[in-house]
Amino acid sequence: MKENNQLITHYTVNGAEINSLILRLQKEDSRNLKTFKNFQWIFLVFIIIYGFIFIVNPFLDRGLLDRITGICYILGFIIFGWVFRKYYREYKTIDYSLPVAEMLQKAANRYKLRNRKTLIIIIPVLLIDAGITISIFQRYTAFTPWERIGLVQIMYIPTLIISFLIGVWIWYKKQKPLRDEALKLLDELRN
Amino acid sequence: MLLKEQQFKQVVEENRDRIKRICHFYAPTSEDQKDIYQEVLINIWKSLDSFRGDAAISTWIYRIAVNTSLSFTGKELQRLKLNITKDPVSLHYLLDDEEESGLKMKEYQLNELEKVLNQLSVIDKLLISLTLEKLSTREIADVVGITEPNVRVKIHRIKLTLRNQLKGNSHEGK
Repeated sequence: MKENNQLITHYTVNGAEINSLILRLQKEDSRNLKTFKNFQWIFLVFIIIYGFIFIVNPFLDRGLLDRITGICYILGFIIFGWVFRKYYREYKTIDYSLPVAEMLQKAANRYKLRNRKTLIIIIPVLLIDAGITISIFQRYTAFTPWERIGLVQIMYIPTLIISFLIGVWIWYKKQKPLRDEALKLLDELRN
Repeated sequence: MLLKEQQFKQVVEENRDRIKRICHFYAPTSEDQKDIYQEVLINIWKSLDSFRGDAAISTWIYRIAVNTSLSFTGKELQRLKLNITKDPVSLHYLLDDEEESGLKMKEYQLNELEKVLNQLSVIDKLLISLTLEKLSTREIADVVGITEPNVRVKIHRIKLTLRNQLKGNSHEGK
C-alpha cells in the first residue's frame, strides 16, 4: 500500500495525470513480473547446477549417495519454487472486485497460520535435511552413524525452530490482527 | 496494453464521481480521500483484466472502492469515520421520513446524524454508505456478497437504531 502511495504521491486526479498514472502502473506491472521471473531463474539455476554436479556428474566422481543427495536438493528446490510461485501469485493478484464477504473470507484464509501451503513447506525442508544428512554421513566416518546423523540434526533443527519462531512472530504481529479483523467483519456481515 | 489503457480511462472517466463519493464516505481528511482514490484507481487497473461483465460496471466499481477503503483503513478499521454530505436529502434515504427529511432540516440535525452514524459498526457504516449512494437492496447484496433479505433486515435495523438515537438526542437537546 505504502509502495503504491509513494509511487504516485503527487498524482492528482485530473485528465492529463491519468496518463502519467497509467505509465507508472505499467512500470509496476512489469517490475512485478520481472521480480517473479528473476526468482524463478534463481531456482532454475540452482536446479541446473545441482543436477549437473550430482546427477549428470561428468567427472564421474560421485557415488550413489551423492546422487541421492542431489536428488533431495533438487526436489527441495522445485517444491520451494512452486510454493513461492503460488504465494507470489496469491499476494500479487488480490482481486478487489470480489464481493466484500468473499474478499474478507479470502483475506482470512490467506492470513491463516496453518494453511495447506505452509504445511507443504515441510516436504522440501525434510528433503534438504535428508540431503545434508546423507552428504555428511559419508564424510565424517570417524564418528558412529548415529553421531553423524545427530550432528546434522543438532545444527539443522535449531535453525529451523528459530526460523519458524521468527515466522510465527511476524505472523502474530502483522497478519493475525488482519485475519482477526476480517473474521470479525465476516461474522458481523453474516449474522 | 493500449486497449487496457483506453478501457481504464473510460471506466475512470465514467465513474469518477461515484468513486470520489465512496472515498469521501470513508476518509476523514482530504489527504486520506486522495490516497484512497489513488488506491482505488490502482486496484481498478489491476482488476481490469478479470472484468468479464458478469456484474454491472457500477457494482464492480463499488466493490473495488469499498474493498479498497476497508483494506486501506486496515487496523484502524474500528476508528473508521463515515462522512456524510451535509445534504438534507441524505436523511430521507436513511430515515424514510418524508416530513422530517424536508429541505428545512437544520444543519445541527445533520451533524447529529453524522455523530450517530459514526457510532455504528464498520459493516453498518458500509451498508449505510451504499444506501446513501441510492443503491437498491439487490445492488447492495451484489456488492457486499450477502443475500437480499439479509441486506433488507440489516438496513431496517440500522434505520431503527438511527431513528431512536436521533429522537433520543433531540429530546436531550430540548
